[in-house]
Order: sequence, then C-alpha cells, then structure tokens
Amino acid sequence: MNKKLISYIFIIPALSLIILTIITPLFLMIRVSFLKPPEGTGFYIPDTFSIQNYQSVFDTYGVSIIINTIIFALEVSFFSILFGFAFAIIMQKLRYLWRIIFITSLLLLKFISPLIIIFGLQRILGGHGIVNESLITMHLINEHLDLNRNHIGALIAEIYLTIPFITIFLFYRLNSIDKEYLNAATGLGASNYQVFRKITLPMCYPTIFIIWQLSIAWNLGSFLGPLFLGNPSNTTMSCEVYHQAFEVGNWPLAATWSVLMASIIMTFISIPKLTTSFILKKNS
Amino acid sequence: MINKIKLENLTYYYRDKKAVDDISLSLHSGKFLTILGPSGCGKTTVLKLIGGYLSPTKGSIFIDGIDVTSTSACSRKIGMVFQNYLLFPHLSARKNIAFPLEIRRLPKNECIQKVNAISELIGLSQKELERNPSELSGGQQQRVALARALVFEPHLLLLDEPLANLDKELRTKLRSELRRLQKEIKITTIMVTHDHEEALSNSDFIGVMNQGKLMQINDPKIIYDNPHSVFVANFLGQTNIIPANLLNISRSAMAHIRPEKIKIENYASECNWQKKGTITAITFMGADFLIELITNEGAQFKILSRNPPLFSVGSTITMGIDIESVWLIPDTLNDL
Repeated sequence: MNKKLISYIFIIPALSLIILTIITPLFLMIRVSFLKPPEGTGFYIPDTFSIQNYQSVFDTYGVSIIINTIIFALEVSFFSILFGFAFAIIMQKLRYLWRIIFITSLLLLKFISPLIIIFGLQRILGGHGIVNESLITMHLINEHLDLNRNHIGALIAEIYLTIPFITIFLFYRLNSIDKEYLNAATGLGASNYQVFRKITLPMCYPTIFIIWQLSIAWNLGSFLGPLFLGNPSNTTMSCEVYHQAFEVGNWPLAATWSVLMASIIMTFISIPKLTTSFILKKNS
Repeated sequence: MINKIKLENLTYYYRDKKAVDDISLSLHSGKFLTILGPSGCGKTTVLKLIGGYLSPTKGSIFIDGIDVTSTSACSRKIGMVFQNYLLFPHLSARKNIAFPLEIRRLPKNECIQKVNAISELIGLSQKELERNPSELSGGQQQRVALARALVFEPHLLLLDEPLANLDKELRTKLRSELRRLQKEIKITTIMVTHDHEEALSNSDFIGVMNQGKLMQINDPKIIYDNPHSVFVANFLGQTNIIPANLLNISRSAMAHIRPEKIKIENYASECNWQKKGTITAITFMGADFLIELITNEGAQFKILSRNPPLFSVGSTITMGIDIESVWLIPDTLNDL
C-alpha cells in the first residue's frame, strides 16, 4: 500500500472527530443563524432563510455590545498580563517552599469551579464584604465602595479567572532565561531596572504575545464576570447568547451572536499571525 | 608604577567549600595576566569576584588603588567576555555592542561612532553587525563579545576561557589577534584558561591555580622553567620530575627538567651528565617526536626530539643533561 494512503488512513480518526465535534456544529450554527426567529411558540421557524438576525445584531444596541466585549477583553488581557507578570517576578524571587505554595494556590484556582470563585468574589467585593469593611476599619474610606454589580466588579472577576494561567506561563518563561545573561548585562553597567527593561522583558515578548492571543480569545467569550458581577451596561456577546438562547428562546439570534463571536475571535487570533508572515515575507 | 588591580587575601566559600583560598596578587596597568588551572580550581570564581558578580567572603579588591570590594558589578566599569559569550539573542550584533553605551545614555551619534570604531579594530564587517547572534559563526560571536566588552573603555578586561569553544585553527588565529588588540589598546587584562599553550603564548604573567589556591605567579618563561611545585611543573606541559640524587645532585629534592632540554646520542656527549636508557615508546607529535625511555635504575624520562629517531622501541640510547639547566622544585626541598 502506498505511504500516502497509509498516512491518510491514520488521519481519518482525528479528522472525523474534528468534523463531528467542531465543523458540523459550526455549520449547523451558521444554518440556524439564517433561520427566521420564532413567532409565538418554538425556538425558530424551520425551513426558512433570512438575514434579519444579522441586521438586528448590527443595530445600535448590538454594535455597543460588540464594542463593549472587545474593549472588555482588551482590558482584562492587559491587566491580567500586567499583574501576572508582577506575580511571576515575585514568585521567582521567593524561596523554594513559598514558590511551591504560590504555584499550588494558583493551580487550585483553576481546579475550583469558576462559579464558586464568582460567588466568593461577590461576598468579598460586596457592600459589606471584606474589602469594604477592612477599608472602613482602617478609616481609609467613609462610605462603602461600589465594587459589585459594575464594570470594576466584572473586570476583577475576569482578571481573577485569567491570571493563574498567565502567571504560571510567565513564571516558567522567566525561569527559563539563563541568569548569566542578566549577569552579563549587569557587568556591562546595567542597573536592575535596565536589565529588566532591556533584557528580561524583551526575552519574554514571544511568550507575552502568545499569552495575549490566548487571553484575548478567552476573554472575548467573557461570561461569568459580566453576568454576576457586572451590570446590564457590561453585557458581552456571551451574555447575549445566553439571554437569547435560554431566556428569550430566540435560537436564530443566539446562533447569529455565536457566529459573530467566533468570527471576532478568529480575527483577533489571525491578525497578528498574518501580519507576522507578511513582514517575514517582505523581509525575505 | 601604580597597580591597576590588587587582590588582598581574597577568599570565597561556595556552601562549605573554599572555592577561592586566600589569593593575593597585583597587576600593573596594561599587563596581561593569565590564570591557569584545571577545571573546578576556582579560576572563574576569581574572575567573577573581580567583576563583582560574586562577593568575597573575605579579602579586598582594589582597582586603581580604590577599594571596590563592595561596589556593585554595574558600577565597576569592567568588561568581561564569558566562555559562551552570552550575546543577547534578541539583539543584533550591532545592538549587542552598543548595549553598554546605550545604558550609559550616550548620544546616538557617539554610540554609532564608537561601535563602528571598535568593530573596525576587531575586524567585524558592517554586514556582520546587522546579523543576530544565532546567525554568526563561533569566531564572529567571540569578536562581538570582545567588542561589547571593550566599547565602553573599561578599566579592566576579564576573559573567561574566551577561546574554549573554537576549533584549534581559529583559536590560534584569535589568540594572537587578542594579544595584538590588548597591546594596541593597552588595556589591563586578566584571562582564565586551562590551556597552557594559550597562557604561555599570550601573557605577561601567568598565575597557576589549584584547589582554590594561587600556587605561583610569575613571568611565563620563569614559571615554565622554574616551577615552585610538582603541580605547576606538570600543568605547564610535558616534564620530567625525578629524584635529584639520580642526577648526582646531592640534595634531597625533586629535580625538574623539560623534555626538550634532554639531548640524545651524539649531542648527549656535550652534556655533563649522561646515562644509557632503553626506549619504551616513540610518539609522533607533529613537529616533534616524544621518546620515552627507562634507565637501568628504573627512572623514566621523556625526551622531545625534533629529528625522526633512527632507533626503535627496545633500543638502548645515551641521553645527556646539562646539570645547570636542572631546576630543583622548592616545594620538594627537604634538606634546608
């Protein structure tokens, strides 16, 4: 049997799985997005074709949700990378035992259900939560701060959910940098800040770039934070999918939002790759 | 003449082990010192202590008469070339060289001028300067590392086995270039190596280290001919160390004589000590032949002969030594 044919046979199981679990549902979702919304009963009108869902997604309200989602994802990614980097540096400076405790705590966050974390954050950030009570006890504030049911609450929740994986990625990257490079830079006259700015940080750029892509892709689908700790003006595309599919029962519109969300995520992931390959092609 | 660098009782403990043991030395401005020793003897640690990468457990370091023992590495203004060069992989060769200037916030024009000047001196082309370190050969990387260490006009240049990663031909070429450059810039240099040929050919002074101790420091010629210990004698190349009484010297000590100073057959008759011996091995060394022989008393000798020997293993030949050229190793003298 020829080698090419054998390799195709080996690909079949993986290919079937991709077709069955990703491509088919995606096409079904795209098909549903072109169905007419329900009138009275049911979730859609079968055997119809309409672009009215796409028209309604791009009305003023829909566009504001899209913009809000993108801005929110960018904010979460930016702050998660910023704080994640700070945590990774702290972790690197810690002694072995503390480092293990720190890593375990971060991993534990990933093993706990996000719903429990969100519930905990509601309690912590609430009017009588530990944050407000502590600040009042220390006489740093006189009135309770609004940390719940607003943009800050949603942001804190999503950063909290994103930060563990970012910190661990960056910690391993920082650890993999040969310390001798940093010594060499110091010997050439660089201060600790200059070593970080000119050597450590640039050496982490490829990792930051990958993390940024993953974080954006993840946070464009932000759901729990905006839903439980945000307010209606913080609605994201995922919240809208949930609202249309499970509260309103308008499956075609929910499918349209899903298609749009998948497209935006694909665009955000593809743009840097396309740009890089374009630059490389131009340089070569 | 003021000492450019002076080490006083420098000691460094790595965990419980004494990595550097009470080292004192001084070096005048513009001189080239090579610290020679086997792997793990503490020579790189000495370099790192001078560079400020490690803090000594005890002792002091003076540069230009100023105590810099507690000065941080970034303030010492010392250029160092590491064994694996440690060129920053995300920067081009040009940016690597400009790094020490940029962090000192020198004007851009001045940076460009200095980088071009040092690159020209070291022999790096403009094309090579634009490449990333991974795109450069070992020799080119070594040149970039050297340029980076020299561009900011340091007080002192430290070289940590800079030629170790290169092939023999390139090593020989760069070795002489390094010396030429050092003499041209007149920079005080301390190099660390385990290669005695490198040390002998390049240095104004050689310091031999073993187990954290500085065994001997002196002019290469003196240290080669007059080692203070058996270790130093052995480390600087092939040698013969035999009891002095075998050479009819009435001292209780070990005598040291280099193989090239022993003469054979006709030439042996000119010497004031002669002995017959049986050849046990003949090794072709390229330029020379190494002849190993054993005397009737069981003493073994190594002899370097420029000419191809006319005899074979098992033949008996006469060897001769000028007793004046024999050096009694001071550390082995027992009859003082």
